[in-house]
Amino acid sequence: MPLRTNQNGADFEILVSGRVDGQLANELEVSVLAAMRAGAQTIAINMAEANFLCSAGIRVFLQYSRQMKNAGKRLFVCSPSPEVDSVLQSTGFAQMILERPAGA
Amino acid sequence: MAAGSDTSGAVFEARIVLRNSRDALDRLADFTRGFSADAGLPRECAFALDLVLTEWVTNVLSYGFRTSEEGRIFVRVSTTGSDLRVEVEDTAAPFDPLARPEVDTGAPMEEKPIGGLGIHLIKKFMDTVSYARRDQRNALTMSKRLRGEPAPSEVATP
Repeated sequence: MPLRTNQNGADFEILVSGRVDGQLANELEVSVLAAMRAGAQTIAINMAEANFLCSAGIRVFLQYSRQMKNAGKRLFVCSPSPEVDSVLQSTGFAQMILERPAGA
Repeated sequence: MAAGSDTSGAVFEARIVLRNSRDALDRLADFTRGFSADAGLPRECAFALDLVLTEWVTNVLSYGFRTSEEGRIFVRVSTTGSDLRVEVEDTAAPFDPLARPEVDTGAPMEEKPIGGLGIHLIKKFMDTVSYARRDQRNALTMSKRLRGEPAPSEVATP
């Protein structure tokens, strides 16, 4: 299953695996919206098992990290695979939304 | 898919013609994966090929054709031993991606643009990109120097 959500109180983690193309980006958006509706204060999108990320996925990160921030909440990407990291680095998102959990 | 040397000097070459249909991106991904394995592309190059073709063909499919229009996208990828060459022609409306303003990747988060990232990625992950409009087709040609370690699946095990 390419998307799995873990919840710990108001902290949500969405684990993404495989290929984040346009289709999976749409499904990721649905998962993010579901977490927001469930009252998430933080949403961590774990990209350790994702081996591909295109601009459609970045748009989801950008759009919902803005919405979360405007609501005083947080959405961030963590543990990117080398492929995902290279895309985030190339688009200037590495330092903007890429955060690693403490101790990672 | 065809592999082997041809008169243009290509060591590996493959072509696919896509329609603007629902399964186009899945077919493209299968095609790209197959070519990268056959040609033994380094991991970095295989990823770059997958990324730029996905970005460009998605763009063409999303914005290039009218709703009822039957469109075609012609993809040719080849290696010459030292370079990867990617050629994409489509019958969509004229669109020069290189005429777009550069994306400001250094902009603060609040000001980062949502559009234009796909074209930016194409330029970042390829060494050269050129565009031409000919015979009522958009023609995008890209190349990348082959370098890096082979993808894990291509490494021979003892």
